[in-house]
Amino acid sequence: MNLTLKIWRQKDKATPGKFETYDAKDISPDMSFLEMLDVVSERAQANGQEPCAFDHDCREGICGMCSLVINGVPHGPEAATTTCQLHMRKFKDGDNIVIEPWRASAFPVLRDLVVDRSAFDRIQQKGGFVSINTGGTPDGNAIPISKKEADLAMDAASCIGCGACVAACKNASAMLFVGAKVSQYMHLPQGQAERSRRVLAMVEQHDAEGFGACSNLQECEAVCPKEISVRVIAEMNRDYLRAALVGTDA
Amino acid sequence: MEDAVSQPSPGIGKVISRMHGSTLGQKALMAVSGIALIAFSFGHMAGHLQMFVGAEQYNTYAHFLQSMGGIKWAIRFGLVALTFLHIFSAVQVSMRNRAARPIAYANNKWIAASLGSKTMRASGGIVLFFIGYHILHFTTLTVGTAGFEKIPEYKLINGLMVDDVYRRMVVSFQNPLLAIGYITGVALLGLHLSHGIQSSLQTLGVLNSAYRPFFKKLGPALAGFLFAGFAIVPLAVLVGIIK
Amino acid sequence: MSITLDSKTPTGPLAQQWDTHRFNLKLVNPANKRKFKVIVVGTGLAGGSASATLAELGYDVHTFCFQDSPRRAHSIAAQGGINAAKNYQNDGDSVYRLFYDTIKGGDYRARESNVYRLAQVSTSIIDQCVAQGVPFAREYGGNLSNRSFGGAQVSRTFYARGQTGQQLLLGAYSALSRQIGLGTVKMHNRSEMLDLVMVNGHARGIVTRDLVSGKIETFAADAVVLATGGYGNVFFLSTNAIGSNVTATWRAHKRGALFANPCYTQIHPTCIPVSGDHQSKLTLMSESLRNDGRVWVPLEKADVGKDPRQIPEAKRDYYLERIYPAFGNLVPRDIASRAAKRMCDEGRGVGPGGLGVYLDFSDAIKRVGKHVISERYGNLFEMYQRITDESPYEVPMRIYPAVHYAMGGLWVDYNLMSNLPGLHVIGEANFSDHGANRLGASALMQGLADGYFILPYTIGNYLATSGQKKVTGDEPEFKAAVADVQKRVASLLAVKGKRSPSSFHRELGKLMWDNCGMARNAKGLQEALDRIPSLREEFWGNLNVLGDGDSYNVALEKAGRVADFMEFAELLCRDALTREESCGGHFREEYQSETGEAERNDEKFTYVAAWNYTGDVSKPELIKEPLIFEEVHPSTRSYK
Repeated sequence: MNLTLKIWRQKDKATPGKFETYDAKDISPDMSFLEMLDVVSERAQANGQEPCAFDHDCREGICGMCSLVINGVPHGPEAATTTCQLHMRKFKDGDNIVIEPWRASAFPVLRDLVVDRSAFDRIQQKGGFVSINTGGTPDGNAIPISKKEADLAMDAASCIGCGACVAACKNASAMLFVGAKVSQYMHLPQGQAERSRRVLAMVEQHDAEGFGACSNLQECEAVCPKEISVRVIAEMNRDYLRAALVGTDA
Repeated sequence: MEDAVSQPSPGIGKVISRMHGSTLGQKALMAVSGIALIAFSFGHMAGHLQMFVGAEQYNTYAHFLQSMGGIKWAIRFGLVALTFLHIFSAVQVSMRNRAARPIAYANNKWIAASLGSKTMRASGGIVLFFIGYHILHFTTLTVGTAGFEKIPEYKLINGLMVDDVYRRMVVSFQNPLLAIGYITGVALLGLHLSHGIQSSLQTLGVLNSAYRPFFKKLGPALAGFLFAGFAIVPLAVLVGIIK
Repeated sequence: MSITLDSKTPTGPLAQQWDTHRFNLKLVNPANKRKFKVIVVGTGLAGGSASATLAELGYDVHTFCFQDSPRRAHSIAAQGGINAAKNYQNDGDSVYRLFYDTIKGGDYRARESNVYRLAQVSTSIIDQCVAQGVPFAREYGGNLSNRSFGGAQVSRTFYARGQTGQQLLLGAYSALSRQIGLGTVKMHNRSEMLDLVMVNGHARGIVTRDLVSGKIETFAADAVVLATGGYGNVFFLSTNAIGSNVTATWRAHKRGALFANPCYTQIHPTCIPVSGDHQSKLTLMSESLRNDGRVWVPLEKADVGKDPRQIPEAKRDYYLERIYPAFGNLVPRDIASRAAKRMCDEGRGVGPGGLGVYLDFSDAIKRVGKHVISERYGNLFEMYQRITDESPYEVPMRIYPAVHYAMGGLWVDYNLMSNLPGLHVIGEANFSDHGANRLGASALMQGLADGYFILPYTIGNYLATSGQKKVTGDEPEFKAAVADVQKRVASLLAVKGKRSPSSFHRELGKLMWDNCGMARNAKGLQEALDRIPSLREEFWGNLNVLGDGDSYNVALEKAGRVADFMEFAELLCRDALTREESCGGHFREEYQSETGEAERNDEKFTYVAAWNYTGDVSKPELIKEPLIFEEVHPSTRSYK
């Protein structure tokens, strides 16, 4: 198949970027989207153009490194799928494809389609953990955890930290990301000791990073490659209000 | 290792500054004020529906409200304050949200958002304008009062002479322009609330997994009910059921 | 200069060795720990857990990763599970059994002492992870759930759906994040280690390139820990992440660290087959699928092209169940991979190019129902369908082996220190615990054992006893290393030829897969050894890297990694040629039984092949560490 790509190119954080058009000829429908970009980049390089930079690593949908807003949708048109797992058979011969980076002031563009997501790391550093050191922990079966709660924790914990929720949100809010982490620990006995402190600190850092507020449009849930539910946002909201108004361990 | 710096229980000052400073605090304020205003709207709608009972009932009700004195002013003040807080938090959050995405997408596609959710700012602004007009119209009698001067005072069964608010409403809504304007206003209110009700519940964290699907439907249903309750009065006047 | 290797293996009964050793290790006074600076390169299970634990102990830790966040390291992609000798299932498991299974699974090419210790600490890992909030799968009663895995007859694998690696890594990342937040770990993201700095014979620092700004920097420390993963991408197509590379360990090797057993590469039996030339990586389907899936190929060649659903039961060859009745579909990875290759070599392979076998769930679906299968493997089935456009609920999966894990790595002693004092190597980057073949669900165990429970003790002994002066990074050795790195970056940019780094990588990978892949022979290996140097020559004469070194340059990054693969590949082939036996992941066609089973040569090859860089990549020196088996007596590994 033959496609026309409009790709965002930007030299660095300080230089404004712009779209450039590339022809993608003879693309196999069995290629992944990133393999298609590999091929286009390789050909551009042969013509003396620097290859387009985009984040990617595991290419099996779990590391959370790949991104790209493809025709207006983070991770492209297929639900519950990261860009690296999106295959070209989802497109039609002759399609125009617009490829943009995640856009958020908290995710500055470093080059082309690569953005800086270290804001997520800093949020995690504020409270996305259980404050225990290595060693001296009780037996794994010492505290029973109901299957239901463990499953709810796991649903939230499956977040890959890709940032698609921020990219899709009209307010560039990271509440789905923060909610997922808060929810994971909320459903586990190990998370209770720091429950209030965690939610307050993580939301505070979320705000400090310049992410927007949640307007409950649920676009994040719709694009999340791991299908994390906005339930986690409601849970975080409840915990936040409880902690802010009556919290005792904060 | 002592990394969790323990702080004393938050004092009220700490609570206010934390809530005021955080997106979740601002959103909670918007939600709480919004829910209070919704509650008022339902009461207001119930009042309006008494139009169907007749002039005696409606005017008695209106007079009762008028005669509440200090309480009336407290409620009015409260409503203004709630509206202010609702708008204030909305503006605060909106400004923050705009700053969060300085460069727009060239290509933007919506997947899940409802019409109501995408138009909150616009519907909210128009509803505000509508409420302003509504107050100038029926409360302060400043605009749209053509024909009001001809309406005599109404004599209640108990002999009390009161304003014939019933007649004012009928006269006003017999003007199709005012009726349609009113219906449009409450329609936008309905649109605003079709997202607002469930959104405020989500913001306050009321929606757990078991209730979310229910509230997801309940929000728009309540909004629709409110719209119908408000819109049916001018409609009834227009078609001559209420005369 | 010849090196004698001292594995520092403790003496005494196996079960007491680690206790005795820990008692004998010198300790660093708690108040002094913050005066010691430790560099950790890599943030996978090993690097992440080590960074966090060292910082908790009080050391001044500086951690590096080339990804945009420490949470992305490729440990995250491990699907199936983590082994631990908890015996929660009451099915006869014990530390000794896990030790035994691992030694046997490794085809008797691992150190007994290391493996026993690994089995001992395995139980603490589960406790640690649970306490961190890792949401392992649970039974309705609230206890931890287990599944079985290849190479074991007990159920000892703990898991979190099909994302165990992710959850364990995020657990380590959370512990690391906590320390970063406390300021005890200084984290350097998007930063690639390009050289090791040796001062006075000790590893004292690294040279890095900031991948965003292109800035070359040095970092000085009291000890260096490499946790940089495996080298599977030397084959271009593998289950590794695109960024996984050999650069850190290779540069350390060129500074004197011995590279051990590079020929032990694990070929994972259950991967999605190659679909075309554009393929950039191979996707693994968790080995746990073999719990319920039955592997087969058509009995007759004539049936190869047919719709598998139309092939009657009698015309199917469930070859694993036929050849290995005791373990059936759950034989270890190397056995399963080679059996698949044999079927395809016989012309009975299915799918494009005849390179695939069926993994069929129809019996399991009939037995337990579609919903149960979907609960167990739903996410894997979806992934398979996304890639191949076929539903495993309807049509049997097609699988084929692919390069997965590197058992070889830098040589380390019992303290996980390389032959270079101060240079510690943990996780997949070292060679220590898996011998010639790694059992499923053991990589996660080893990475976390090294990082949480072993290195934090042993590194203290080095720091307490090394007696080295502080370095600042201004020493001539640092300046020389920076100059080397700058020169290298400049020379990659200066070639200005025609071919992209990827095209060289692809060619090298194909050469390696064809000549040094699932099965090897002397002729093919010799041919590879002849061709690699000329490919390398072409690389340095015809490489095309656009842009400059002072900015974000993806082609330059890639070129540097490919350049190191070009050198490392030769060592891998040389090791494979030298090891004239078949064992584990190393299968030499000349050394097999009549039925095609691997034949070890214990008399001649019961040793670790540790290669020393002599200044010429084509002339490494072989140093042998004999392996002594006191507990387990090497026998022919039988899963029949």
